[in-house]
This record gives sequence, structure tokens and C-alpha cells, in this order.
Amino acid sequence: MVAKTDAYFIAEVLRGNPEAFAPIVEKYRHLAFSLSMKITRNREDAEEAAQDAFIRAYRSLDSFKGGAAFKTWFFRIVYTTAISKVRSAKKITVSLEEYKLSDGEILDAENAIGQMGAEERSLQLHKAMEMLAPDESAILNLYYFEDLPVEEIAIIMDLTASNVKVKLFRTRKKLYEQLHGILNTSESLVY
Amino acid sequence: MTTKDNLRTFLKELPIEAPSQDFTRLVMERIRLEAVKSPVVYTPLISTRGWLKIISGSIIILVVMLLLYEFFPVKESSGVVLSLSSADFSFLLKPFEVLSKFLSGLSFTYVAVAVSVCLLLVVDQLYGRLAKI
Repeated sequence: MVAKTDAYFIAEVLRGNPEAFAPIVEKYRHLAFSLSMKITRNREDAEEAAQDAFIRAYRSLDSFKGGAAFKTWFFRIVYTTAISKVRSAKKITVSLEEYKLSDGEILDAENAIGQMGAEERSLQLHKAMEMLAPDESAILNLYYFEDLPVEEIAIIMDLTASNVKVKLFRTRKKLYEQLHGILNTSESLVY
Repeated sequence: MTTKDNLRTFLKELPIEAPSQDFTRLVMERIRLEAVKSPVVYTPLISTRGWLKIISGSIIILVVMLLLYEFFPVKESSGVVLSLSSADFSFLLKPFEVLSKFLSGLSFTYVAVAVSVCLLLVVDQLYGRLAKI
């Protein structure tokens, strides 16, 4: 049996069959929730933002130009929905601490993280990611977790490809700086 | 492995956040409500009314060109292939004799464009009014 594509279900919805949207929701619910969660950092808000994104996608389905991949088009909706949810709730809290690490110190932080057990590493990474701005968490998620190319991230975040590269570089550095700070704090607590 | 690769490996180890079990059901409930309120239906870029405008506009332009051709005979060197010398439009031109004298000093292209634009505006207004009825 040939698997039906997104284009097939979209055409069905546009023919007036709203039930054909269910397979699309089923297919993209994890992606939508995961990206929303990275931005909102709150399960309840993430669930709401992901649901709203699906509704917005449904409403504007007739404006979807088949040329671009549905995934990219939908990710853009999820990103803007979650970002506006955070902005409207004024929930953006970003650490103002800047450590300005040298390349050697970043490497040290990376090695320290690499030597940790998987569970401990996840915990520390989670803490460090909480200190990033919502758009920074989103860019890391899209690039490292969803493995999206820079060009697609540029479309989703409404940036140029070179801006995405710069932002990725800065965010990566900032994440390691946060990790370095967290590791130093926990070391000083131990000794 | 580079820092980028390491970070990818580390981030992929993070536990995956899953939406609630009834996520799809909740979304579909809202979609059904949406479908009743405002169904999403494909609307073509050019509507039927739009096509009618285009067709009637094209016919008007063609008729204007044919009529004006009689006012402004085109020189052989102008590259016009269509020969209308055998057609007799004189019966159509009688009411336009005054206009003919006025237009005789102007070029065929300018007059054709001006008249076509005016007629298209009239057609657009006409369809606009019909749409309101």
C-alpha cells in the first residue's frame, strides 16, 4: 500500500473534508509540541501553543503554496505562535550573566559535560538551555534536534541564512558559557 | 568529533517531550468547530467573475483595435500582418465622424490604449455594481 502524502490530505481538507486533517495532526504533533516546549518552557503553554498552531495552519491551509515543504511552512506557524504566546505573557527571562569564555574554556566545558553520565549531562544541559532566550532554544532545537538545514531554519525564523549561522554560533557559545557557569557553581558548592 | 557534533549528540540524549495522549482528539474537536464556522475551501486565484472581466475586456480591446484601424490606416512597413482591407466597417464609423476628425491628428497606439483603458474601467465599474446587487 502506498503511504498517502501531506499533499493528499491537504487537498482532501481543501475539498471540504476536515477529518483529513487528523493524519496531519497525528504526524506533526510531536514536532509541534517539542518546538513549543523549547520556546515556552511550560507544558501547559506548549500544549496550548501547539494546538493553536494546528488551528492556524488549518485556517490558512488554502494559502499554503505546495512549492515549499509542508513541514517548513507548519514549523514557521508553530514558531510564531509559541513566540507570540511567550511575548504576550511576558515570560521571557534570560540570564544576563555573561562569562565570555575563551575557545579553550569552551573545550574544557565540553569535555566536562562529555565525561558526565548521560542522566547528569541531560540535567545540566536542561538547566543551561533554560537560561537561553526562547528563540535561542528554538534555533538549537531546529538545527541539532530536528536536523533542519540552515536555509529552512531561515524561513521558519524569518532570518537570512547568514543570520541563522551567526545566531547558531552565538547560541552554541552561550550554551557552553552557561554550562561552564553551572559546572563552576556546583564545583564551588562541593568544595 | 567537533564541538558541533558533540553538542548534537548531547542534545539528542535529552528526553523527548511528548504531548498529552488526547492531543489529536482535542485539536480535531476544535477543527470540527472551525469547519462549521468557516469551512476551508480552495478558492482559485482568478474567480469566475474575474475571468468574465478578462474575456469581456479582451473582446472590447479587440473591437476597439479593429475600429481604430479604420481611423488610422497602418503603413505597410509597420509590421501589421492582419489585413482588413477587404472588410467594410464604414457603417460602424458613421456616428464617429466628429471623433474621427479630432483623432486624426493622434497616433493609433495612444488612442487605442486610451480608449481600451477607459472601456475597461467602465466594465470594472459595471461588474462591481452587479456584484453588489
